[in-house]
Amino acid sequence: MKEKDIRERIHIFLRDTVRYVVVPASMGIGLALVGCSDSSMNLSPDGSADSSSVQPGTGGSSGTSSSGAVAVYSAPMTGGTTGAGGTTGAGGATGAGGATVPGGPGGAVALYMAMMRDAGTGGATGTGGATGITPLYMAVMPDAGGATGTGGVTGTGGATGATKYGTPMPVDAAGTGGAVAMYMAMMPDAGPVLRYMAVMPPDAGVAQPAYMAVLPPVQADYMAVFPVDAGRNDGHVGVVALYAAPVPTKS
Amino acid sequence: MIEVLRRVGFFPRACVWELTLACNLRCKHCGSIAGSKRADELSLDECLRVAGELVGLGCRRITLSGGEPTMYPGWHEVGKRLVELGARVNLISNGLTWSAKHIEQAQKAGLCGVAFSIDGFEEEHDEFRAPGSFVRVVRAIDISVAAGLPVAVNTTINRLNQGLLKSLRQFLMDHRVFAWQLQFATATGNMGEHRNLVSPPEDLLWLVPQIAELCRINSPDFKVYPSDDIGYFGNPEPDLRDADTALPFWLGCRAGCQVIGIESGGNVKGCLSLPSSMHGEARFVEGNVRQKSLRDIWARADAFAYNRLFKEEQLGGFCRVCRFRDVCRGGCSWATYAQGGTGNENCFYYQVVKHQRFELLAEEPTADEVRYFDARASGATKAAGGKA
Repeated sequence: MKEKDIRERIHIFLRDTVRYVVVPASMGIGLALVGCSDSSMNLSPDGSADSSSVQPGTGGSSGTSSSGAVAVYSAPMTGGTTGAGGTTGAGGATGAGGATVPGGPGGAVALYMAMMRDAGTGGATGTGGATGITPLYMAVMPDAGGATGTGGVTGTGGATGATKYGTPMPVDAAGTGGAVAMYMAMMPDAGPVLRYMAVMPPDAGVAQPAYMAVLPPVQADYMAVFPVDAGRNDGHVGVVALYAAPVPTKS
Repeated sequence: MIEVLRRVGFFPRACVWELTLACNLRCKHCGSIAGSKRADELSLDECLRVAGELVGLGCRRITLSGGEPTMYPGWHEVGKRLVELGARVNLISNGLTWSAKHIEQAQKAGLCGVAFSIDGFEEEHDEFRAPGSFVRVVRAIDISVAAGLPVAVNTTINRLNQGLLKSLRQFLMDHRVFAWQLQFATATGNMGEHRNLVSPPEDLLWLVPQIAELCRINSPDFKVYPSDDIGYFGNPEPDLRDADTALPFWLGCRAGCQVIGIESGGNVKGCLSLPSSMHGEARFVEGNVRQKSLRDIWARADAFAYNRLFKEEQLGGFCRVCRFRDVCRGGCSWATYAQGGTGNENCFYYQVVKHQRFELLAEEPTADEVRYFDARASGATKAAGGKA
């Protein structure tokens, strides 16, 4: 099947087959009122017909867009009143305080993505924040202003610890799969946590946010916080994803 | 094409529900790293509540999974509740301890069938699972079929069994299995320690067409279903999907759009296969049914953003230049994640263009697609000190 045929089929499907579309919803992405027949979307994984063609809608009534839900807003927000300073972030000796976030326009705003300033600059009101650099802060904004566009959004300010942290592996993780000393990340709500990545896959060198390893047998040097069940019952050491422990140096 | 899913609506048509992570096997390819149960698994009462929420969200097809789900004491009661609420429910088991009692429980609960995992014939299956496990699972199939409980089989394709698919098909038909789901092993979970057993990506050039051929000869009594990590595009594509549907081609990962996964501790993901705490990864966990209702988790504005709010900028590697990038969205999210999130070498189209096997395509690749590999080859040559 050629690309042109695929796109034509999609076009026809969107034009003819879908009888009802997503209803605007204050939640941004609304559940749908669906009436879609004779399409692959109606087929279950085993190919049998799925009779559940009608889904109770939960669309909200707010929002003013006439073209459907506004699912995401990922641009500098303008308008609205200036929000209050951010709240104090938890933990961390340094870190950015809460940034003042301008209010948003009217209508539903589901997601605001903004680059945080580098940590360590101190904030207007916040005293904490994540130690180290928090490159990206993703937060669900409170409901944006109403239909008139008034009522700016209060800034959410300093992050309460890093909500998301992803980083490429250390440089020396690349190569032939040698041992990697450690991967350290501030885990949300858990403080500093060491991940132990034993034998890296040969193709490491790109971001490897997690790698499973069979841990060596439990021993004194591994003062690990194991998941409760790891290694229990049958003498099987178990495969443990995450533990906090001194990690052997690369050698 | 996320627009198609968006227009159809984001609701969970299908769910795979891990009742427990406890398992009586330690399979080499287990992506869930099953073995011991989680410390905080949902109680039966909690599961029954979640069952109501799940069906209330519109989910009508639910697979009870694990771990080994029969090690969750109330598995059949959860199944019964779901069936009473109107869902079609099946269960996937390794068959190791499957017995007449289990069959009776499944039938009384109203389950529409049971699926067992078979990863080859005795030698290959036992290599991945445990000595003697093949004999047991075949017995489980036979006693279930004899009792009138429909049986499906799941097979994880790997280097050991990839050459056996045709003969395995006949074996399953002989044992009156009605459906066969095929999926590729990925170097994740336990398989991360057995990467040498993963099928080499270049083998997709013959494996995918062969799977398509198996699909093409489907009959009413026996059907092959490729899982979502098999494809995408090229000549085999129509045979891999249901040809009778309006859109008989891959439309991208449906995790969090039409599919949902529930872990035994209550964490909710777009697809049960996606990594979570056992992999030291939290990004795919959207919430926990102990803290919020399933509806609230599903309907949260930024939930399942990797799919619902997909942007082409998320793609990496070849996927960024691929002509199907907006339709395909990088293929199976789990497979892409397992490869570092920078493309999907498990894509048939990728391998075809890379190896210049254009006869496997309906049309020539685009200049950008060809250039992608030319540039990589040139870079590799220069890095090696050779001539470009």
